[in-house]
Amino acid sequence: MAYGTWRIPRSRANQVIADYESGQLALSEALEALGGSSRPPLQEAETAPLSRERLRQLLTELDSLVGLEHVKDTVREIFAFLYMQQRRRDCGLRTEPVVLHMVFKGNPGTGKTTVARIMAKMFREAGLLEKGHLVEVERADLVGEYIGHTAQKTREQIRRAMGGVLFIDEAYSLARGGDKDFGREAIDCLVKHMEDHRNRFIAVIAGYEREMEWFLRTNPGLPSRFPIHLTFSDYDVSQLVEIAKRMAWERQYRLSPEAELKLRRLAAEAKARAAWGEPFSNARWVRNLMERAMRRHAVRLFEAVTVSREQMMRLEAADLEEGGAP
Amino acid sequence: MKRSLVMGRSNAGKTLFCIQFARYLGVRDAEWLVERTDGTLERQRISLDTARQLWSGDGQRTRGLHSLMIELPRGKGVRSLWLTDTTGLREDIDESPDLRADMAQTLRAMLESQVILHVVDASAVGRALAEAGRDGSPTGAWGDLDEQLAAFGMAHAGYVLLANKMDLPEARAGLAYLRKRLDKRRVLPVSARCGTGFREVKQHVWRMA
Repeated sequence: MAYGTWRIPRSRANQVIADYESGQLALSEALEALGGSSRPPLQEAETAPLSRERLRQLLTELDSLVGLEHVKDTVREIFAFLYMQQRRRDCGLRTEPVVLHMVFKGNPGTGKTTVARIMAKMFREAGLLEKGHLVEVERADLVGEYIGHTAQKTREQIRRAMGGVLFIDEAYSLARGGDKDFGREAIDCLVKHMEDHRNRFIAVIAGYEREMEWFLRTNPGLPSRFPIHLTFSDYDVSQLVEIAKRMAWERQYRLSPEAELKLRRLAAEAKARAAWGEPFSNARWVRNLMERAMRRHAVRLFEAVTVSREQMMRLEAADLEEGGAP
Repeated sequence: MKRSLVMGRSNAGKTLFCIQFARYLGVRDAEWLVERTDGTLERQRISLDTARQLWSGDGQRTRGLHSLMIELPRGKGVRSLWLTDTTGLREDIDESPDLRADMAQTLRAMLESQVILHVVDASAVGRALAEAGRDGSPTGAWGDLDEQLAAFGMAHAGYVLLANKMDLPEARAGLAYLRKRLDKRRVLPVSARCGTGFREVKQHVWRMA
């Protein structure tokens, strides 16, 4: 087909011409847009939209997260596959369109949202998504109040997510209300749009592992439409400590050795309680603890007349105190 | 059906080129297929001579796409393709809406054509060069429009630039300028009036047909 030689999507070309026709563009601008958008793919072929170096760069941000080895491996697999697809296409081999809708399973605070955000950016830079933004929604954003309202709300959210990632947190709650609940309508609408706009947005459904398994079982069409499953395991104690240290480092605080020991003890206790069924929110627990520590640090030094730079940065064991949110 | 599109600025000599080139290729009973912007198709039987008198000349504007069926021998058979004359392109944005529609139609056809023959008035380029002095650029005869079209065309296998009006004295300088500016192999000197240079154009069209 002649379009192939231009390497410009038909819709884009038609858009440019329509813009020209309605008087929004000068002719040379229209030609530039037609030629200009035919040029980037050519350049891309040279610089390769997914060169190996670029991929490594993209992966470094993900690699900088603590733990999550399994997740990192899977993401690496996905991007290696995308890269291979592209190389195969260059050689004229057959390539399948890639479906990238994903399920994120894991306990609270295990980095589901963070990873989704990073991946959205990676997909954009790899040329799979136009914008690469993340739209975070929950049940209340999708489910309406009366019949017909749900599809409308869901469609609106999907429209917002076009060109990016639609991240549905606690997605299992869509199926929890029983047969009369409008949540089912939201699921049906979502599934329909996922098929229709396969290349334009990526849906990520996230939630706790057990609930998500149950959710995927309730609707027979769901598991096959989310081919990628990522399981976010809980952090162990040393990973929690590592997260705390990085968090402190980013805000220009340091943990004293005693504080670190105490943090280790607190984390071990919290995890032990979590094993008995008490809620534990992993990295979020660490963040809350650290933010509280910074406040206590400020109170402790409130009365001091002169505070050295070192003191201002140093969090002591006494600052670390559990309390408040789990 | 494959299509070879003749495009370029207004008054570059597109219509005359089409008529003469068709004649060169042995078209006698000229049945023109005219595609209007409103989507209507019309068949007009106008002989090449009459068409030349009617459509070509100063101040004439081609409206819509005028196509002639041309036949090129290839192997044992004959390949036929449309030779399409288009509305002349102009740079300015404040054109009347129907002219705009005509040009948009040209652009659409451009995306679907296998061969693009970009006609440039080489004599006007030469004249503008002479006026602009040594280092000047030939504004008015070779502008952004042609620049973009050429840049666009370089990615397309079927694109050639026809430096027209080579029978005029200034055209030589214009041709030299165009050859320097673009890929030399993609610039073919022709004269639509005298019918020179058509052999190369035919070879190009034949290759792409």
